[in-house]
Amino acid sequence: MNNPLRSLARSEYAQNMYRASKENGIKLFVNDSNLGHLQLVYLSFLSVYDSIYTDIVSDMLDDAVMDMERIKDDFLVDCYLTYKRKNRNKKDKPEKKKNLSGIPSISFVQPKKRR
Amino acid sequence: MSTEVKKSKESLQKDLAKKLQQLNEKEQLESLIKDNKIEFEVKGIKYRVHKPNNFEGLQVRKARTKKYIELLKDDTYMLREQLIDLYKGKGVDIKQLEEDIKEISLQIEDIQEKVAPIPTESKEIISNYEQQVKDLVQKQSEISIRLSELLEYSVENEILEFSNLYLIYNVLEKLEDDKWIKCFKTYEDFLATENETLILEATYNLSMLVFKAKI
Repeated sequence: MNNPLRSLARSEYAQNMYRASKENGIKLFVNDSNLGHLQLVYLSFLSVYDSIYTDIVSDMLDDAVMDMERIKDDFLVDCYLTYKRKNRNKKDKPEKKKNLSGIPSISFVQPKKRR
Repeated sequence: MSTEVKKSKESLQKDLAKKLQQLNEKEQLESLIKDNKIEFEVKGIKYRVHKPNNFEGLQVRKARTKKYIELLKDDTYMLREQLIDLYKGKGVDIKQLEEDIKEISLQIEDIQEKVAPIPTESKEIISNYEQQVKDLVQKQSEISIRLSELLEYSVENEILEFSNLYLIYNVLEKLEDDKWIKCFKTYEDFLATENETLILEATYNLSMLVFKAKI
């Protein structure tokens, strides 16, 4: 069963409001500060779904599958987010340079000075 | 306030996610997040709780510090770490239980990573993995409940219980002649109340406004 707060956050209405709040400063809540726990959770869901919609539209999906149907399923969204995070971490790690020339490489080490 | 309240609070915490699921009405949900106050009714009287402001937060912090020093001086209470050592001597490894929770999280992530590239048409495979994740979450929740039961009598937990109650006392208001007034004049009045439904409802509603590891 899907989380109702997530369902609300991914709805077209909520996403439009979120974009309007970012672009035009439209208020999402009555209070401007001292946000409650649920408000903060809701805000983070708004942001997460905004980024997934952007991924879908811009086709930045790598091997992970995400579309307008899958986004309605909390479990599949969680899977997509984990996949995205783990693969980003893998990409961020610098790969060791491979020697593709077939010629054995030599590394030069400066000899220690003798006394 | 009876121990029933404490026990019911535990079950409330477990039911919080379930109760949220029941808020299917969009309007009901929106009213919960529109501001940092939640109104509710008990026996025909309107009450509300709000997220503490800086002053109220400071009041709770002061009371908590005072209580902490008081408990530290009391030899009948043990610190979390002391309790963990005591349990170790009796064959219960708290640190291992905490590690088990982390390990299960990693197992869940591994499954999620496998599922992401599976096409939507492979419903059965996805459903099997989803069930595996549900089972792992259940296992994790059982360990977590066992952990909180084992550490229930630590100084740290006592402090948490105390600050939660003190916070409820500070932010609980009732509607009288169209004005919101503080529900209890003193903390002692609050502790002496027999209206347990009110305290439970206030606890449940406040937990949606204030993030606490346990409330």
